[in-house]
Amino acid sequence: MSEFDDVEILLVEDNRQDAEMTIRALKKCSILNKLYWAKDGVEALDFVRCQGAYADRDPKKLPKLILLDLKMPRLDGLDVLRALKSDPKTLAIPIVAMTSSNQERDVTESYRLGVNGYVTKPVQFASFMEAVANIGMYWLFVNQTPG
Amino acid sequence: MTVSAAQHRAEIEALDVELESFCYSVSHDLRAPVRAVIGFARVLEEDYAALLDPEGRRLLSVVIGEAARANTLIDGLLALSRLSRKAMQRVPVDMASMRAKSLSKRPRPLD
Repeated sequence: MSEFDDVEILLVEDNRQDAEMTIRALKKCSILNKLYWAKDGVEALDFVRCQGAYADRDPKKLPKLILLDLKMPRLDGLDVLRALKSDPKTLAIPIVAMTSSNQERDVTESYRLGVNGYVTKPVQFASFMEAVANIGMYWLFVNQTPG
Repeated sequence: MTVSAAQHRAEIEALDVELESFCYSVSHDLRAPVRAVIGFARVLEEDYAALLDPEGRRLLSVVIGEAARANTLIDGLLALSRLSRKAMQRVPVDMASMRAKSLSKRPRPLD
C-alpha cells in the first residue's frame, strides 16, 4: 500500500508550464484529485512498473490514463510507449500522446507502437483547456478498460 | 574543377535532412514558450483581472496579442518550408478567368 495507489491519471511531462496548464484544465472539470506528475520517461516507467522510488506501489493498481509528452530528456515518450505497449501487463493502459509536434513521422510512429490517441497541444489557451478536459472526461468516464 | 552530379545530389539530400530537423525544432521548441506565454497571460487574466486597472488589462492584452502573432509567424514558417520541399506542380492556367476574378475582387471606385 502506498500513497500512489489511488492515482488515476499519470501525467508524463518535462515542461513545467505545460504540466501546470494541464493540471489547471483537469482541476477545472474536477478530475484532478488522483493525478501524479512524472517529469520524464524514466520516472514514468518506474511509476507504472512499481520500481525504484515507487517500489511500494501496488502493481495491480494501474492508472486509467497516461498523458504522455513525446520529447523528453533521459527517456522520451516514444520509448515509454514502446515499453508499455510491448508488455502484456501494461498494454491495456490508455495512452494519449500530448505533444507540440504535429510531424507526420511522430504521429505514424506513435500509432505503430499502439498509442490510443494523439493530440497536438493547442497554442491557444481556450483550445488547450478544452482539449485536456475532453481527453480526461472521455478516458476516465466514458471509456472502459479490461478488468 | 567539376563537381559530379552524385556529389550535388548528396549535398542536396544533406540539406533536406538539415531543413527537416530545423522545422522539427521550430514546431516543437519554439511553440512551447509561445504557448506558455499565451497560457499564463490568460491565467493571469482569469485569476487577477479584478486586481488590474484598465491600463494593466490593456498591457496584458498586448502580451497575449503579440504572442499570438509570434505563433502565426511560426505557422507561416512551417507552411513555407513544407511548400519548398514539394515538387513543383505544372498545370495549365486560364489567364482570362483569373484576370476576371481578380478584377471582380477589386473595390469599385467611388461614384
